Amino acid sequence: MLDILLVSGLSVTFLGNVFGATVTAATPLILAALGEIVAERGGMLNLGVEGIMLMSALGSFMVALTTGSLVLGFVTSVLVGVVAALLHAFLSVSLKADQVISGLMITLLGTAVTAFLGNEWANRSVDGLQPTYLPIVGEPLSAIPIVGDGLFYAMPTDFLAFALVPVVWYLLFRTNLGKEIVAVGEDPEVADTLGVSVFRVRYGVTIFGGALAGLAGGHLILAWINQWSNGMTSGLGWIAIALVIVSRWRPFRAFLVAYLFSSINALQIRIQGLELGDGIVGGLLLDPAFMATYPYIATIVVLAWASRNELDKRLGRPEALASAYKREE
Amino acid sequence: MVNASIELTPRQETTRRLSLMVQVVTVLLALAVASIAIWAVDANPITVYSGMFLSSFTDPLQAARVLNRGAPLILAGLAVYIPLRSGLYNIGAQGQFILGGLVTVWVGTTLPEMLGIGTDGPLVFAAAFVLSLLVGVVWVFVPVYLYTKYEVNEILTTLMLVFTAERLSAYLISGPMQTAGGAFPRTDSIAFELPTIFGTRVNVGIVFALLAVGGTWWLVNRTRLGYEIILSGSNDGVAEQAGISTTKVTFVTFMLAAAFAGLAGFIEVAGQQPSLTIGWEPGYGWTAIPIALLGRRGAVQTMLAGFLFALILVGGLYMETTAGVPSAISQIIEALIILFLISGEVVKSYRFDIHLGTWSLRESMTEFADSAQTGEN
Repeated sequence: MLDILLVSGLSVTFLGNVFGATVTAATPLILAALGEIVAERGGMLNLGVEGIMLMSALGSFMVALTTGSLVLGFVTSVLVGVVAALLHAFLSVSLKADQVISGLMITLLGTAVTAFLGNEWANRSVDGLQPTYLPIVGEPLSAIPIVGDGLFYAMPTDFLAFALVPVVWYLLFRTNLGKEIVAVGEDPEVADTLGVSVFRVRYGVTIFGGALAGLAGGHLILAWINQWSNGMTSGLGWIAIALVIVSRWRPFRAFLVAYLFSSINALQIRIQGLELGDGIVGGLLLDPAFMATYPYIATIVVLAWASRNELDKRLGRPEALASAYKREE
Repeated sequence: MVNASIELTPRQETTRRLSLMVQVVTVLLALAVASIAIWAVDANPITVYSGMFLSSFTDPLQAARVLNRGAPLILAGLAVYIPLRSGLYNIGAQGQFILGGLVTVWVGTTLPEMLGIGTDGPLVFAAAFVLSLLVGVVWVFVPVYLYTKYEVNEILTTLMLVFTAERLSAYLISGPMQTAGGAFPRTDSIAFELPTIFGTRVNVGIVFALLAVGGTWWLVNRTRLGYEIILSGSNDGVAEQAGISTTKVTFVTFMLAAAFAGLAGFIEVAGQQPSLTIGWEPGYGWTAIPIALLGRRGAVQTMLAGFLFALILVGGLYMETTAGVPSAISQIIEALIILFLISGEVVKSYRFDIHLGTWSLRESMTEFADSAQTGEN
């Protein structure tokens, strides 16, 4: 494959473009995955991420177009995520409903509501967020070949995603709150005995996860694609959930794997227009329409690879994930 | 801050009357909340709902549509229901459905030439029928293998294969399977179609679906394997102790499920769409999830849920053309049914009370009932 790329004009510019596209595409995955990591660490599985991303994308698009304010758009995206997460928390924490079903319901609802309301917004576009230099160090560092522009001249939400990775790591593993969250995710009974409010923690982590999933949806439409189409997330929310498992519930690994996935995606988009010839490689494996299947196949491959490691399996997965906590009185 | 909490006390037993009431209220509440969406697009919910549900009973054409769409919906619903009985989720029915449809078109457009047989003969029909079942099984093999071998989450793998199937379908229709000429990417047309029943517009798809329901009911309720499926669903530890191979149960349930979903694809293509365009696939495999959740207590309940959702779907499409309400209203109702269904589970298994500060819902209800009684006296 490298030969073909070289022949067809592999260059620093090309790789720089691919990397730039990777950064933009990785941000919604990182945001949503970080939120889901915190939620799952606290024992809350939220399969509604895809639906939340759709609803927040459409919601923020509507608000940004109507008010002309991108800030209000992003605020809306977070609020939509919080409201949907509250519903999920109410059903699965307060009413002790099955988390899998409750999450699936939110995805179904999000898909349906956006399909219902989205049609009249489909042929419009928003003046999206503009890339900026990272303050102070951004301008000189963006001169680094290939990765410089992508990392230091990017969307504000991209920088936010970079920054949140260490923040979430610190929150989970270096603070008392983080210890409480992990305790609730591992063994709610013990946490309860030690005086941690299981309900409050579980509501909290779900809302945090929903807020970040919402922000991911906002980024998707206001910073990346700038146009609404039905089902525009095309499985990104689900890939974010897969990333959480692949990264063994660890923020830094989630960050790296998000980049791996997005580079596949970016390469697939950027490779269009290159002359690749026919045959099994050019006509099938590198056909852009066929390459559209790669992110999903890659998700399965990486999931399988990550799960093969027996030892790893015990490290990370919260013991009480997806089980409702019923307090014995 | 006011102290607000919900208190749940487990019920000793759930009466049949309560269960039935919860189910009816579930559907009514879903319709009530969905009417907000209808109202949001400036339509009258009462006119929309009456048009939606009554048209299928007064207009024979609409009734035929309910049965013709009900067939793939019920089969796809079974495709989620059967693994759910063993406690696992097949979220990928949509992918298996798409593959079943693609294979049907492939068989119908290439096999006759390859073998030198007629394009609408029974042989092509049978080949497409069988291959649609098989391709579903093939499509689910990797997720099942990965689950049984490495416990890779089956929800995510089956789901990823839905997106893969969608993209594969677009690739095939705009590439290898595209017909010569024409502005839009489209496949060649197949020459056979599902026969209709007694001169009506209803095709035999519904017969296949009902046979599948009967077969599933018999399998789950009357065979040793069914007993093993239910036991695996209740508790893995118990099943293993009883000497049940959960690996075998997982393989059998998923393969049967995927075969049904593939068959649903065959019925859609041979019954409705002889040639395919990009995005040809109706979301039956998605709707299958709420169908199976609503009907999860049995194959017959799944069938009834399938008919209900076919009614909602056909009614929704009808209202799109007659009242301009987007047909996605059907999906909103479906999702809300699940929402109220899982809320209703609480009512069925717990007595609940809401506390707000010192106020309690149950106490004030008892007081109200008491004062009403004294008032009567």
